[in-house]
Amino acid sequence: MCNVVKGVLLSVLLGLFSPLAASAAERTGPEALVDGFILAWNTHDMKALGELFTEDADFVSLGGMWWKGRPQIQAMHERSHAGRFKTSTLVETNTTVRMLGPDSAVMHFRWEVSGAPDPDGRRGRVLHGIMHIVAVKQAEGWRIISAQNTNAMPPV
Amino acid sequence: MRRTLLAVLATTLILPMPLAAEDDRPQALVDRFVRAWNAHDPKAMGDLFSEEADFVNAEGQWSQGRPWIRAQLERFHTTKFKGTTLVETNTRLRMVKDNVAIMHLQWEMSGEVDAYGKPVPKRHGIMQIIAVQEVHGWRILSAQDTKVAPPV
Repeated sequence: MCNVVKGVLLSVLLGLFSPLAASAAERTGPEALVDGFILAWNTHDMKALGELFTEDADFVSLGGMWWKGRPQIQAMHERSHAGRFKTSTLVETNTTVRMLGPDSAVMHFRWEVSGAPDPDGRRGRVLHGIMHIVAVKQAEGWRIISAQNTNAMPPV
Repeated sequence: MRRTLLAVLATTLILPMPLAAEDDRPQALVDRFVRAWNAHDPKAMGDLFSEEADFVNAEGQWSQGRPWIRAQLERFHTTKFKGTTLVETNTRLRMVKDNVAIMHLQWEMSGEVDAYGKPVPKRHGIMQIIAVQEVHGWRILSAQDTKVAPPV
C-alpha cells in the first residue's frame, strides 16, 4: 500500500516536472543553438561549441576581438576555457527570437557567467551580457553565422 | 524647339536625382549613420532603423523600437556625445540572402566627455548590424555595439 502511494506520488511529481524538463531540452528552432552553446560551455567542450557555427562564421568577443571562421572561434574559446573560464558556469536569463523568413533568424541571448576569476586570479563577480546572434538553417540544421557579445549590467 | 530640348534636358537631369541620392546598398546605412552622428541629428539616425528595431549599445543597454532608440540617441547627443566625431575605419558586408545583410562596422570616436564634462580618451568599437530591405529601402533591423578593449 505504502509503495502504491509512493508510486502515485512519484508519477504525479514526474508529471509535474517532466513537461518543464522536456520543453527546456527540446527547443528545436534556432533557439536550439542557445541550448547547444550553454551545454558546450558548461561541459567545456569547445569542439561541440565550434560545431554550432558555420565554417565561415564571425564572432565578436566581449573584449571586441573579431574571430573569423570556425577554427579560430573554437581555438579562442579553447584558450579561454583552459584559463579564466575553466570552471565557469553559463546560465541563460532570457532569449528572444526574430525570424527573418523560414531559414534565418536574429536572437538576443541574455546570459550570466559565474565562477570565472577576475584576471588577477581573485574570485570574480558574476558577469552579465547579451549575445546578438544571426542563425541560418543549413542542410544539417541551424548554425550560427555571426554572433557578437556585449557586457551588460545585471537586469533590474 | 529649344524650349522642348531644355525641358527634356531638365527632366533627364532632375528625375534621376532622387534615385541617385537614395543610395540603395546596405552599406549606405553606415555612411548615413556616420553622417547623422557627426551632425548630432538623432532624427536622421532614427530614420535608419526599422520601426520595430533593436539596438544594444556598447554599455549593454537595449533599446527596443525606433522611438526608444531615437530618444536614447537624443539624450546622449545632448550630453556625453555632444561634441563627438565618429569615424568609420572599416565595414565588412555579408549578404545572408537578397534582403538580409550583416555588416561589421569598425569605428573610432573622439571628443567624448564623462558625466563631469571631463574629456574621455578616444575609443574604438565594433558594431554588428543586421539590415533588411523594406519597401522604402534598407533599414537597420538590429544592431549591437561592443567596445574594443585597449591593447594591454
